Amino acid sequence: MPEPRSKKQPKAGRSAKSAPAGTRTKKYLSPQMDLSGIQAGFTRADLEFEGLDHAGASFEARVFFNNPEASEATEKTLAQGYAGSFYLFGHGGCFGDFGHCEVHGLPRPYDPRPSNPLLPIKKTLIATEAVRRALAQSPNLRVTVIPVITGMTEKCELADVLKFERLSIVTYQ
Amino acid sequence: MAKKFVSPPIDLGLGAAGTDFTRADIHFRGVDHAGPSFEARVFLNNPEADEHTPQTLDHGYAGSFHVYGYGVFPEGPRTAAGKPPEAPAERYIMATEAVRRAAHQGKKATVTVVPVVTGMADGNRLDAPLKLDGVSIVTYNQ
Amino acid sequence: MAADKGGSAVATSLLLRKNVSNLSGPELAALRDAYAKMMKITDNRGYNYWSGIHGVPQWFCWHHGRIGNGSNAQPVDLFLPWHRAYLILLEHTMRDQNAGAAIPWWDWTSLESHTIGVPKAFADKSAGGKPNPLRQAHIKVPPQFNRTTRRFPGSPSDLPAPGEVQALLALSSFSDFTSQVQDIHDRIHGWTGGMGVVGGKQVGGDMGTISTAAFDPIFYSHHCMIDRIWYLWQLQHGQNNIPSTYLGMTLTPFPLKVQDVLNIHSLGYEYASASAEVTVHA
Repeated sequence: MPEPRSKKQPKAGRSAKSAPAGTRTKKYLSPQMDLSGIQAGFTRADLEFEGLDHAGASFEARVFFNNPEASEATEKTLAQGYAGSFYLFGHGGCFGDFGHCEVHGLPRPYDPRPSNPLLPIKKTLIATEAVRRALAQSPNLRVTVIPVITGMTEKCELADVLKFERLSIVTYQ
Repeated sequence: MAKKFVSPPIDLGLGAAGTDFTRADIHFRGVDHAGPSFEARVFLNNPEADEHTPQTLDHGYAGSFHVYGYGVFPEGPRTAAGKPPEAPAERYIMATEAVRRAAHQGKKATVTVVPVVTGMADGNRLDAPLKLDGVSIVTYNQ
Repeated sequence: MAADKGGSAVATSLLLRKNVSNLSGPELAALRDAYAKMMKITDNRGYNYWSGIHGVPQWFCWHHGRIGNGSNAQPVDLFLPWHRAYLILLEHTMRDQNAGAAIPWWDWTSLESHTIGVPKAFADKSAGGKPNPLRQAHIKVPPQFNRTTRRFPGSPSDLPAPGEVQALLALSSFSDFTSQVQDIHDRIHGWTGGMGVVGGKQVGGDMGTISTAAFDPIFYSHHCMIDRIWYLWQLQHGQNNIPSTYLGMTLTPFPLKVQDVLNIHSLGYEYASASAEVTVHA
């Protein structure tokens, strides 16, 4: 993968504020992101979602640019600002005894066991054309992410499935 | 009492070195570990040996090996339909002095293996825990 | 020397595995606490799950040598490295419940063992006013097993003498050593499990066969002794004295290969019978 040449990210964000009525789970709405520093002529542009929680339900995360009103009913078209989707295969909630799904801090020295499977993950959405198109319209960008639940168990909380620590837009020359 | 094994006379095949070997092992091929656990007491030139026979050189005692049996055997390719499971393994004991004593007695020796059951799982048969494919006596000169 | 600093990322010392008869009161209490907590857990942190890796129901243990598969059709014997991996993974899982716990070894050649047989730590019916979790455990593997472990140990005088371990340590080839140490290992399993009568029916003790041995808590301390004997043999004959064809073999189901478990210091523990540590403050 070529070296990233620019990286724009909002301040550390969590899920957006309360969702419109009828939406089963909270969506995410970013603050305005200033993309003016991105150099033209990039060959690839990614949205990176870091620190994603994957302990619960599975969902499709639909990403829209500059469409803060987007919802589960919004068409996945360029005209609507659709940039693409990533898919999260969740663990489906906690099935063990008390404490089974807790993620503790650093592993003990010499512990050869694999890391906790519930450590937050990173997902990358390649959205080159969508970023290029959005930049052609404005240097400012708002990202909306609509989670659409695709898998669940009775142990899943569904009100707020999309949780992550950081969103970045990364371009490559 | 569990059934014992008595070999036919085995040619010690000592050759020119005679009884000056530095080590002698008795090898047991295909010892089944699928069932109960047992101590296998090995005697040379004592086909009458049983579990009450003293474990001394004078009685031909060469040593013991121990079978740690599966007890309950896992289902899988070795449990062919209609057949009891088998888990053959190679075992040997170091029996230098016992073999040397037998070699002084003659060119051939019989090997008697007396099983003494030490562990079992429910349903294990205890009358014939010892199953093996063959036995040989191997000497080494270093 | 057994200093677990919880979440510290800097290894300050190695975990010291001790003779069970030399454990201090707090060390034995920590061990019992770890076992008791694990025995209450039903998920993959629990005692029943970990014991079930060996025999019933998962059958991952290595015993008696096998023939390799495919183009590797030669005898392979991973008994020693497999059980070393088993112990270290179990020990970390125990320490998740009580950071002060460490698996102690049971020296079945000691004068104490030759006098009383099974050590008090494993034989006492109760400890601290509660049932002793080192004495027995519950086997729950449906449909066949839903009972407490049982143990009918033999006569203490039938246990191996110290000279028998010395003879093992004198063997110079790995294949000789692993074969003979497994024999003494197998013998202890039979001795500890034994045979008894329950409800008018002859039954075997669980340590006596592969299927359920690992459910008896003494199993881990028996294997700790075997692991220690291997370590002592490695000190004399070389840490890497093992067929090179074994090195890259995976110790299924553990995330370790044979080459990963040859050096116990790299696994974070030590078997010194006596040691002293001086901490130097920066």
